[in-house]
Amino acid sequence: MKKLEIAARDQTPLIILDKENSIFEIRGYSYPDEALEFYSEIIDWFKEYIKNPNTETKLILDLIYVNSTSIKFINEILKKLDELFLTGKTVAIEWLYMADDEDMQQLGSVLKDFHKVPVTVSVKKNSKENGKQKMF
Amino acid sequence: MNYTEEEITYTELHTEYVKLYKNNKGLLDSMHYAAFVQQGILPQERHFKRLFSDYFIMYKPQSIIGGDLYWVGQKGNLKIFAVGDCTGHGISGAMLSVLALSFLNYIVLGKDFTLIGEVLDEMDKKWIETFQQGIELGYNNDWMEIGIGAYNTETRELQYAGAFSKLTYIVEDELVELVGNKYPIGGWQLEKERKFKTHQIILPKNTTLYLSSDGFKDQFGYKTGKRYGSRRLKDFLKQIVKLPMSNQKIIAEKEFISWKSIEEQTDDVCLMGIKL
Repeated sequence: MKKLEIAARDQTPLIILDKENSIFEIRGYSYPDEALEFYSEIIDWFKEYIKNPNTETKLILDLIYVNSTSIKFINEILKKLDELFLTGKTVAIEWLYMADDEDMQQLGSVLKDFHKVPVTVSVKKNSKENGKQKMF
Repeated sequence: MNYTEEEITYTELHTEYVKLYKNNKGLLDSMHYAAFVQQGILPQERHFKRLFSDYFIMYKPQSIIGGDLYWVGQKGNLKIFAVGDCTGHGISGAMLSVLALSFLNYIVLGKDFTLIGEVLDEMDKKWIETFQQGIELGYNNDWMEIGIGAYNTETRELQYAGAFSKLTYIVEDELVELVGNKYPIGGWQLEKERKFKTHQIILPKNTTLYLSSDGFKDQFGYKTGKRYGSRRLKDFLKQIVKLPMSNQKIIAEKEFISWKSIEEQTDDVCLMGIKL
């Protein structure tokens, strides 16, 4: 299955969806002007992936800021992984947030409550850049 | 006249440019007009003044029109106020905000309720009904975050219910947050019928209340690259709380602009302050 890799930009996150190497990551900022356009490609990728998935899938969500429209689409991605999880495959989400960011911690917990796929919500260890100019 | 290849390309380019320019201008003009209409649909100063002598409302859509909304009204002895934040901004956000306002008018003014949380229960039902088809197709999951308060001037009791929203109040230099339920109106649903809890508390005169959408605290600062944050916002409100509300509005706007600087506005902003 073709790898999907999108470099992080100002308003959109880094995307690495690599079935072969089992790397599934979304990192950075998400507040695109054209959220549907940006995320439909990613949701389509997951739709295809769950037809023939790896035995184990771990998706890392390492986001600094997500606007409401992006959350809609992240929900759609997690719904796909819920479907996969319910077929008995090993699936997990790792939600990472910056140490003093209560909002992102809360968002992770909310997503964890709403989805069937297991979600771990943890503090990010390294406060390194996510391929973006903004400093923390 | 014979044009060179370069000249033909320039003419085509120019024609396309003019088309796009006119198109874009047309869209922007309609958005500006829609902003004018949105301002008309939102409560006016006279609606506020009938209920709250000392208040302010800071409303700044991210993109001319927006998904944030505010509402005030009266039902019997209850003075009711709300701030909401619909998914998206710009045109889609604004349309949802107008829907939300019509629900508020209908439910608060037209239906009976004892606790303000029931208004949110009813809003959730109406919202789901409205988007039922979209939900069935697995497509639509727009939602709204909203905080709604009802103050009884006789008993001095404040009722508050929130969907992903918090109410902040300050009395005698003490800041308290009332936290709403951790689910929105609409959106992704687990429960058949979603219920919203009503907080009830007696508040003394000179209590100042604040309701805000996420836009202020989520604003990225140009100089720091960080979001403003809820902690900083709480500290800021504590600093300005003793000032007259009209001054508070001016200072809040200055604070927002100075933090944002030349950074683009991240999201719609709506901050309401009411002095009881």
